[in-house]
Amino acid sequence: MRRLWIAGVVIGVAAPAWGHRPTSFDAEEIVTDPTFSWTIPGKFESGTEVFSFTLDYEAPFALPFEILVPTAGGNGDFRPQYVIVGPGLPKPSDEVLAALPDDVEIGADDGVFFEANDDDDRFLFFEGVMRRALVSSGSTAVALGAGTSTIWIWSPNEDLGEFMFGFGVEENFEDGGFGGVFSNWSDFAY
Amino acid sequence: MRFFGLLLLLVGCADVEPTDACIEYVSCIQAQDEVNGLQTDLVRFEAGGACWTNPDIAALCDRGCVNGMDWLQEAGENLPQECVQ
Repeated sequence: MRRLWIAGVVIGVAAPAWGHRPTSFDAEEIVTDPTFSWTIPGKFESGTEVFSFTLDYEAPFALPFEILVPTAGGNGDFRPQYVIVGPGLPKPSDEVLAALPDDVEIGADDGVFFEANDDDDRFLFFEGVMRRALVSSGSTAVALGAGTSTIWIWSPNEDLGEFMFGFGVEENFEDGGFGGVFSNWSDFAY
Repeated sequence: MRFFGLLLLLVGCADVEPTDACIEYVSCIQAQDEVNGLQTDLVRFEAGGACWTNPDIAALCDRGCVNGMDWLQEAGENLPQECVQ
């Protein structure tokens, strides 16, 4: 019976483990397969940086997106913003267009999803693998059209700080999916 | 002791059911697809999808569906009935 109890504890603890596959803005191909779940760390060092990457889908694809900041260092109120630009999304309002940095390019057939990251109460959670607390903009499901979507991330008030951009839910750690974590440990562990 | 061991085993292995928010989100996107002649890949949000493999992911997806529907209702145009309930 003791063995059964221990087995139960091991399974119960192990089962909830889950994570995005890590990648980097410095990677030659940042997202090799957009049907998997990914996380990309970044750091605003001057506050004027605009990070971007693309997702290419052969068919329309709906998935959750969120941007997170670590609470360590007292920077939990850091609120970087992002926009998804691509097919299948609504056309931006004038108000949304005014909030975007100049770097953002919107094609004639593109629409946008804009995350202002301005909720008073944001979701705080403890990420068990890296043992850190993160504040989320709030996960939002977005249905992207077939073709190329571009995600742009910036710091609206040129505030400084670190962030993690995460999307998707299908885990895949094949082909050395942890490689980016161990070779860039400081990017992922705060 | 036997009860707790069995309970932990069941919790560790149990899938989670899709939430009402994600059932409604899927219904909304499928209704939009029908109008637009598209077929969006929604597998992760549907029963048996990756969203429902453990409570942590389920909570992330549920929040995603709530926020995704709120955003569609705010930004979308000519939404089908399934998206405005």
